[in-house]
Amino acid sequence: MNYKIIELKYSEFPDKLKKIKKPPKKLYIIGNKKLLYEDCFAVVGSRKISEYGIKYCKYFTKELILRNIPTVSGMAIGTDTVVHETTLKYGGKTIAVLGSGFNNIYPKENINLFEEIIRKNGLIVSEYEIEEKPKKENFPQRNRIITALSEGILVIEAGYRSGTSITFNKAIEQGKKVFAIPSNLDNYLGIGVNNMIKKGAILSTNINDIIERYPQFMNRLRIKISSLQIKDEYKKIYNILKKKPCYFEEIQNKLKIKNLIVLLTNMELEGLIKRQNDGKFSVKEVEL
Amino acid sequence: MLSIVKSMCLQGLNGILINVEVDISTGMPCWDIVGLPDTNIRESKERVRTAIKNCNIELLSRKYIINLSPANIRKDGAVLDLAIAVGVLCSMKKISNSSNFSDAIFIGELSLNGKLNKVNGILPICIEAVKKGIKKIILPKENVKEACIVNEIEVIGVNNLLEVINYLNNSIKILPERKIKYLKNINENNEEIDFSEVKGQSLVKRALEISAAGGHNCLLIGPPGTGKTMLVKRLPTILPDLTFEEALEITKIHSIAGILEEDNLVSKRPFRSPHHTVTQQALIGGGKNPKPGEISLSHLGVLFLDELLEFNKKILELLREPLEEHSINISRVGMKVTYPCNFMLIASMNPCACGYYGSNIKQCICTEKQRQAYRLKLSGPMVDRFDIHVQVPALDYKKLKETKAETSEKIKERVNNARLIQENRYKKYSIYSNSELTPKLLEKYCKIDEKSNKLLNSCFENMKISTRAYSKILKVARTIADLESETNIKSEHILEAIQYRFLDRMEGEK
Repeated sequence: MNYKIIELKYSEFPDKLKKIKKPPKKLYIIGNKKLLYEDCFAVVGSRKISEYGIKYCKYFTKELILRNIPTVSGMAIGTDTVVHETTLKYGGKTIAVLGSGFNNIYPKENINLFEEIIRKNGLIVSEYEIEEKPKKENFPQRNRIITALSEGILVIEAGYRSGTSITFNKAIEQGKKVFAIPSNLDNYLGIGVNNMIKKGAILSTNINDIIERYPQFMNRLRIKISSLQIKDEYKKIYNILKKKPCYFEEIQNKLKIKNLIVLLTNMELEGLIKRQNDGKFSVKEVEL
Repeated sequence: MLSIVKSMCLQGLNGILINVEVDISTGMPCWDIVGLPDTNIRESKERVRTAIKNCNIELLSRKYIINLSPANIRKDGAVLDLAIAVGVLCSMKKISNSSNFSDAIFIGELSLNGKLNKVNGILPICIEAVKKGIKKIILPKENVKEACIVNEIEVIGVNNLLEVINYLNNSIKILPERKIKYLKNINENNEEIDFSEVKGQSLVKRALEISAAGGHNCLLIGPPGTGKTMLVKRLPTILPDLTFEEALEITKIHSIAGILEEDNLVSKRPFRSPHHTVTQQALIGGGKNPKPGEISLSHLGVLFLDELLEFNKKILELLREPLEEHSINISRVGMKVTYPCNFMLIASMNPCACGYYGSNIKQCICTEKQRQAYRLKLSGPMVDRFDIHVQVPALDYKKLKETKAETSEKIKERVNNARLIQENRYKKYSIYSNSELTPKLLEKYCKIDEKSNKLLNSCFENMKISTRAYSKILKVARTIADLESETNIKSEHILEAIQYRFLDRMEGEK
């Protein structure tokens, strides 16, 4: 494995990491080193994530990438994986900060993601020796590096006493701005994130809520992706699904069209909508 | 003096003609039954002896030897009581001219007072007896109705042993029972439940309609309380009507198992829903003398496994071969029994361990990993056995506008129609429905045009459907086309069928 070690005492060690309390003595890195010196943005959340979380995690990540802002996350399952995957899908760059050594990727099922990040010009960072095992106490520690490398963080979802609250505290400590997506009060995965808003995280319902607070991001142009051409017969269905993912039953109840199932499969084939794992139909791209 | 009387035993659905040979000779007084009798036949000597005594016939102290031939086959069941008693009485010369009944068989269990008790398996015995050239059957009065289903045999119903003696001695006359003429329509419709009682869930109803029409196995996935069980309980109301041959096949099995209601021909397709604590033997069939299990009892009907994943995994995997072969071989020492089991498997399960994934009412608390682990409890080969997977969503029904649901009668009309098309098409082959199509027949009857083929291929590419779903999609599309009385499968039928392959399309871990 082609990893490099950057030591605290040398000038190549990124300034933003030097400034924090207890900076790491050494950084083990693989991949695109330049990303360490760029203005990045962290998107984090708990390992458990709802369909709602996935949807908006994808939206915000995509919008950041379209403005050429690299994302930072922790390569855990759940939110982190969605962030990295979405970034790579839109051709963006991403930094993954690990809580273990490079020879002990955790979780194991993300080893493909690990390799893909390196291949697609991303960066993997860890403060641990390459043989270090994924220890429980390492993961809260790596959160301080995630926040240090980023200009600010966006919290997608966090349950009550989630590890994300540690990231939140570290960010506040380091004087970074924290943004949060409001969650349904009934959503038990959203208790933590709503509490953060209560404690002063910036409520974000739109990418502009984040962008307008950073002069360095303000003037970045959004890359245009071609807007979808939707046939007339699909429009009604598409507009319903745009509001929220629906079961066949719910669409049928609203529209009462014969052959709805055929239309839905056709729309799926044309890439307008998809069927989620829970069986609901949803639009592929979220626009706000 | 030696006498020989005929009777019949069942091994599975096969009848074995038994010669009951009785000899009474002088010597040390004893009763011996030889020829591999099972315990309840060995015990029959006590019943026979007491029954004869209670008919006021004195038994002399002699050596009674009873041989059941062929001697190498294990015999089971109390059906031989009457034949043994008649044999003994012939040997005692209480019944004269035994040559009178050389083409008759005697079936029945004796009570101590000489009364004849009802036995199981009369219908298969009668059918097999006809095949073996038997002209007459003498059996308990209570079994008469069932025996009368078979036309080619003379049925004599008797109440007790004394009546048998008198009948055989020609001192009384018993007329053969009148045969019941079965009209073409043997199906009764007295269901108290109806599909229109279930609000909404139109996609699931449609899936069940397709299942019923093509005999497809169907898996319902949904949170608790969404009406999965309620929907499936109403499935029998839309199952296609039975033909006479089918009814006969079902009745035979039910007769052996002793679950026949009113001793009549079965008039509805069976619907069996064993609890998930069911044992291997109860599900597949088994025992020393193998009895049919739930899968055979649901032959030509529905086997409903509610909460599929609660079933013992080992037991579920046992279903794999029967689902393919449509019959089950049960081997025991000294015998091998084959029971048919061409059933339609309907199963229900929750989408995840907590049960609420995708619910609009309650939040799911599982991680994607937990959900995947839960789904993997159902093995790939088992998933493959289901032609249709459909989601039963948990919806807030107060929000949905009330729509008038279709009645079972209307749906059944379409199902019957589709089944008729299939029967006509598969006349030459020994199959009833689209679900049984072999790869060769699939190629012949599920041809799709160039355009549809392209469509299907692009589905596989774009929608992450595993290729093993290919034949399932075609079979289901064939049934959808039959429901609409179309000769050819059209692209819209395929587009619909694809949505019923839900489990094949799950995305990997997030």
